[in-house]
Amino acid sequence: MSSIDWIVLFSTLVGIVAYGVWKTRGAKTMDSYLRGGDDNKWWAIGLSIMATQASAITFLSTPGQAYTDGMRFIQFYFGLPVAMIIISVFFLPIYYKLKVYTAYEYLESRFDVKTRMLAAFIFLIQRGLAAGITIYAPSIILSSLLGLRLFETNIIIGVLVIIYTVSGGTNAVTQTQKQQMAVMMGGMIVAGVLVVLSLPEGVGISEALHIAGKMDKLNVVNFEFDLSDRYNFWSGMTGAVFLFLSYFGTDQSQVQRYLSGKSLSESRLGLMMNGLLKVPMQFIILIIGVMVFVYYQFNQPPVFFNETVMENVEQTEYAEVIETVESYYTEVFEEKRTAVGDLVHALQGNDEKNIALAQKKLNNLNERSKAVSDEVKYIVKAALPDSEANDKDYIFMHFVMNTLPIGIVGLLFAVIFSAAMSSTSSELNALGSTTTIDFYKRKIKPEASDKHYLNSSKLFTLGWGVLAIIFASYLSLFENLIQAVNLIGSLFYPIILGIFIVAFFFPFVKSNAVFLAALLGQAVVIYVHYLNTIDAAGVLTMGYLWYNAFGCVLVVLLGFVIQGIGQRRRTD
Amino acid sequence: MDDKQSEKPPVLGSWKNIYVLLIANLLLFIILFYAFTQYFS
Repeated sequence: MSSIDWIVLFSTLVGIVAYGVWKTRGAKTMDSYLRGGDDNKWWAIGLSIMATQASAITFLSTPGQAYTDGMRFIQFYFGLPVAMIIISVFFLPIYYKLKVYTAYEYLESRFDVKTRMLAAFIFLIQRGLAAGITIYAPSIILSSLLGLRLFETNIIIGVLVIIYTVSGGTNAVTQTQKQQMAVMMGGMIVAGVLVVLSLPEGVGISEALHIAGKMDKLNVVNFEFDLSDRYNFWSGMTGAVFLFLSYFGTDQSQVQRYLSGKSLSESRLGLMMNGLLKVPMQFIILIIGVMVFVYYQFNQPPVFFNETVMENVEQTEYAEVIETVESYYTEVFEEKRTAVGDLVHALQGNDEKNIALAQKKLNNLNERSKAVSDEVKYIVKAALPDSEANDKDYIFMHFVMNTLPIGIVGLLFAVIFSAAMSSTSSELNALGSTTTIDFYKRKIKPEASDKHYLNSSKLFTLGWGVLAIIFASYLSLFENLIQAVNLIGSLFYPIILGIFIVAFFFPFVKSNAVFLAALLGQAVVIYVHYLNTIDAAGVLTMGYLWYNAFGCVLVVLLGFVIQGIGQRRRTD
Repeated sequence: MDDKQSEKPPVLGSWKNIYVLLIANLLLFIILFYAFTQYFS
């Protein structure tokens, strides 16, 4: 990376951190530190909600997801507006009425302290793990691209976030997220324009979309119902609704964002803004990934996008095999480039017969190309068993570093860093608040001065930041990063959501019943995931997004059954 | 925090109308995406 790119990257990041610290200097009370002074406008809340959800994973994995799997991932977000409405109608007024700091405080007023603590504990585990991944995601890519050690990049991201989050609390998170969102969206729009301009002469956006469509990359909506299919309309409108309900409605890292609103209306409007803009935002990120795919139909991509790993493989006994495979890959690519050219000519001449012929040939060549890539992954795994054989998350940044002009490369790195910082800061802020309010203040030291709790909140936030850095340094990749985060969420969220659904809608179910139901439900969800992992789930086989609906419904049903049994015993 | 529960939204008169707008917007996107998928496939 050039020195101009480094200057763009570091001036952006240091500028945001300095602004956050300066703007929020002098947070003197626990209330202003944890709730941000309750004076945020709807658009600041909306931006904060969106920036919290948009982690580096969003910008690293999503274009790669579109490149390899097409645009069907967007269906996952169809449930989001529905979840926003449900939270606005049912969750938000109760949180406002009770003037809570954390979502889990409500559970004590509805059930008892142990249920509150169980939900808060599950949150701490789940969000603590996710915070590690949020730092790790850009670190692994950046350490590889910039030749740094993983631990060093973890430290850079973690320390930058810790500085302003510990110093200014919730308000610092919200203030910096405005700048971070501007960098993220500005950078991605610039990248989108430049990828289209990078296409060969005679290939405009219309031809590019036709090429992508003919190669099954514009599979945006699929109405076919299939439980084992991770992304379709039905999983988006059911499983994802449950996931978003738990994430936005019960995860403190999000709840804390909209509880900083000036009024109930401002908070509601912030949620509505997220509901309106999230789907088009994801569409833009995915379509950029598709355009990168089209670009690589005219320009040969590497057989494996993680170049550092590839260089290491070339130092092993597999070097010759890789060379042979690469030369075959080049042959296939040359044939493919000719076929794409034929397709463009046929499209421009509106020649249906030749369009169909070129499409058939292209898809056949694409299969061959994919088979070569799979073989390379197999070789990588054999040559370097500890290396990650999935290169999906490197696709976008490989394109950026090798195609985009000086200065823009630095800006795109700033996008990834800003995204990592925006979501990590919300996570640390929420982890610190929950530890202070739901455990420390509630159980360990109930009577202390406001200053004591303010300092404790800062210390807990710092502690979680250090833990997240340590955890990030010991992580290894899952199938891909975005799925890792969603999987962890899908294992734990449904239980918390189940508890909240019972709390809101089923007054018949009391504290002991819901507590037992939550413990049993969590055990069952983890067991089902284990069975799925070893391919032994049988009738319970399901994509992990379905865990959200399954686990939540299970907790509600178990709550009813246990409550019913308890009442019958008392009656007898 | 202001805990007035019956606050009206600044636009569209009621929260119900805002929610209808959100759902209509979602439906419109799904229809457009479906047409997009069909047109380019």
